[in-house]
Amino acid sequence: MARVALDHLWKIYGQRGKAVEAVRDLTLDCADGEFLAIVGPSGCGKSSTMRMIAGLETVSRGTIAVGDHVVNDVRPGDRNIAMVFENYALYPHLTVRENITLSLEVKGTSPAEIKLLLNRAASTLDIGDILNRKPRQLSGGQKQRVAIARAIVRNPTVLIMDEPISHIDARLRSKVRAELKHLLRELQATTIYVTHNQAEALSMADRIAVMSDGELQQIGTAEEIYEHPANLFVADFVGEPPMNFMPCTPMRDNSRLFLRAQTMTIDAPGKLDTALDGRPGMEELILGIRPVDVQLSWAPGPETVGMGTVRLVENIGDEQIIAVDAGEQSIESVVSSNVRAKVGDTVWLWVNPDRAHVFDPATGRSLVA
Amino acid sequence: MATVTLQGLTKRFGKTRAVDELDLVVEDGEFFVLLGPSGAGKTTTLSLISGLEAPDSGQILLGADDVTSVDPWKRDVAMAFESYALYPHMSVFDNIAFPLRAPARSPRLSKPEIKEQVQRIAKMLQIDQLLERSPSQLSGGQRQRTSLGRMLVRHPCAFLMDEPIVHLDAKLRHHMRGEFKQLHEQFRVTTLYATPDWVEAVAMGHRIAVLNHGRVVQTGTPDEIYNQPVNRFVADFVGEPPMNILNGQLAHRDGHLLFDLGGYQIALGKPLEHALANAASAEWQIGVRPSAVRLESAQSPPARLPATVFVSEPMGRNTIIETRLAGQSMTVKVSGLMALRPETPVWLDIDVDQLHAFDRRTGMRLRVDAIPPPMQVTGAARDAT
Repeated sequence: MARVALDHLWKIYGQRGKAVEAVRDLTLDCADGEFLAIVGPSGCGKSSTMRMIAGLETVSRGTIAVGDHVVNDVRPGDRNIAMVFENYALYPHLTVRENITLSLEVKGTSPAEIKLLLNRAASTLDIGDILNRKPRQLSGGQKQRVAIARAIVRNPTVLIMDEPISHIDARLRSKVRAELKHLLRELQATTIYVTHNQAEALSMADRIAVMSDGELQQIGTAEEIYEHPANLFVADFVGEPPMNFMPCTPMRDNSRLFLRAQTMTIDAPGKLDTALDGRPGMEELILGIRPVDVQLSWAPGPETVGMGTVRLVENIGDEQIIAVDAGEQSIESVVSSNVRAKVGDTVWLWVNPDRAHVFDPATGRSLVA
Repeated sequence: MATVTLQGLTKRFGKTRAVDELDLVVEDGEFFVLLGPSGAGKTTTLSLISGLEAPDSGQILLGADDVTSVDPWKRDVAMAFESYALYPHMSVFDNIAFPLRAPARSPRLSKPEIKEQVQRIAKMLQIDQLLERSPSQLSGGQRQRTSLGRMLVRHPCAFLMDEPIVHLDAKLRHHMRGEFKQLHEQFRVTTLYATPDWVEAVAMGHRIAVLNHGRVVQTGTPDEIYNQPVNRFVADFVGEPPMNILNGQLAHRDGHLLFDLGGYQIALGKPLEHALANAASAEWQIGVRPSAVRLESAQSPPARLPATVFVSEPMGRNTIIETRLAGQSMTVKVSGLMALRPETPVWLDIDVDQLHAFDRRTGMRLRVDAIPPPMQVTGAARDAT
């Protein structure tokens, strides 16, 4: 296993004025044995990045290093990178055993060693009892494990996974997700995992690289990405239901700093004071509050910050999502299912100011991350 | 608008019974969800109601009228598909007006009448500013509303919706759920909505029928389906992550009935103990939702079941932690973000008021009086009824 380092990497498609910059100046590092997720909406550049690492696309500018070697000009087959695709790409006419061992036979590995590698992979992935089946006789989860077994018997330096579980039935996906995370941790494989699904990235990876528009927006642990989003894009993309955003104006009353939005006035988060230091005037900012950080109360109190009318109540098992109309703003709140709210209720909002996010509308950057 | 009644409805494809003796009554104005995995018979049921498929036996009633052998275009139902199926070369106005201009329609409507009706519907759907646009100039949500507008101008007695949002991304799905719910509040058209997603079902439905293998497994309100599943299938299918199902033996100690997991005992609480003591079966499994288990890093009086972390998954507002308890998998949902390494020892505390007992052999859930406390009734859906 080895680290992967991308240094000022660009991918530019097309030429003569019609160039599309699919990946722009991407610099990131996946440490030896690390599980790194690259996440973003379609068209963000994650697939181009992955394809360049695998050698399926040429690099327009910059370098890709695996271990200590720059591999820009190394053929895909010689990079010792194994890929697991969304559709598993298993050979339908071969058995599970043959699918797994084919690449070893092509390489001329001795039968004894093939047997050893196969047995080890089969026991790690718990597919020992399905080795004689054909792919069509397997469930989605089994196919995925076979595809991983085929990837790891080659003893690759890097494992690349492209949306490996997005086609699995939703009921099975959470189970497969947990199993895959556990397995990859045991294998200690350097893994680059590409997905459009933010929940999958947060829940599985050691670190997450969020991309948009060909550029890296933020890289960090689940906690860093979720609790301290670096900009508006990350704040909006990560988290379900999405963060509430509203325009607000900072105001000073003696030494206290407030944020006044149309629907609520809250104490500014502590860090904002320093961030605003030296900025001329008090311009409009964007306040961001996660639905889980908005709580509801049926009476005004010293801690309530605004009021509104319940527009929608969605009960989702042990939680409910409540949409509150406050002026022209719609604010969503996630509360426990034993809170009794109904459409048309007047409710008062309660927000923990320390969990509020504030963004510069000009740059999109967080002022408190 | 009308009730939709299905009586003994059966549809076979070859040897497979896609829909098997289905009995359902959907009330006038109700938002009724057909929930089930793929192959459960949801789409076939909707196709039978719309007339796209003919049943092998059974009856379909719209209101009091038996429409079982009525031609599809004469049935007063409107079907929405996942793809909005808008005519790309027509404006939003013409798409919505299309059913009003259909040659078979009687009485014929004058141009001003058509305009008036389209504008009224478009206003309600807040797309009256977009009537001149073509579908390609619309967002996904606007297209969905245009397609609904085309259904609504016909004043159908029922809407049939077949997984209309299943392939949208999570954010848009969340948004569309809210739209559907509010539009239903506004128009109150009897709606049958098929989906494999339990969240859509409990968030939107007045009532839900859980289907499997062409049969109804359980019909009930979201509260009943979530808190009182009739069997292991419903318990497992509704809820994310799924309910934990534990294997073990009933044991007696100090006059109490306990559930022994092999060295560790779970207290069951009075109502469940009582029900189990009077039940015929002797082999039980205990079910508990991940949100009904508390996790502590140290042993403290209530948290006394020792477990180890298998994998922890930070999801944002909560973390899902899969543990191993006496060799069995036990998933716990905690609020906030928590990073726990595999093999970390933890202590679990199970809320006895939220335990379920399932007959190991049949999978049926033991009915228990007085538990669990009812979940809050879905606000928006209930109140106006």
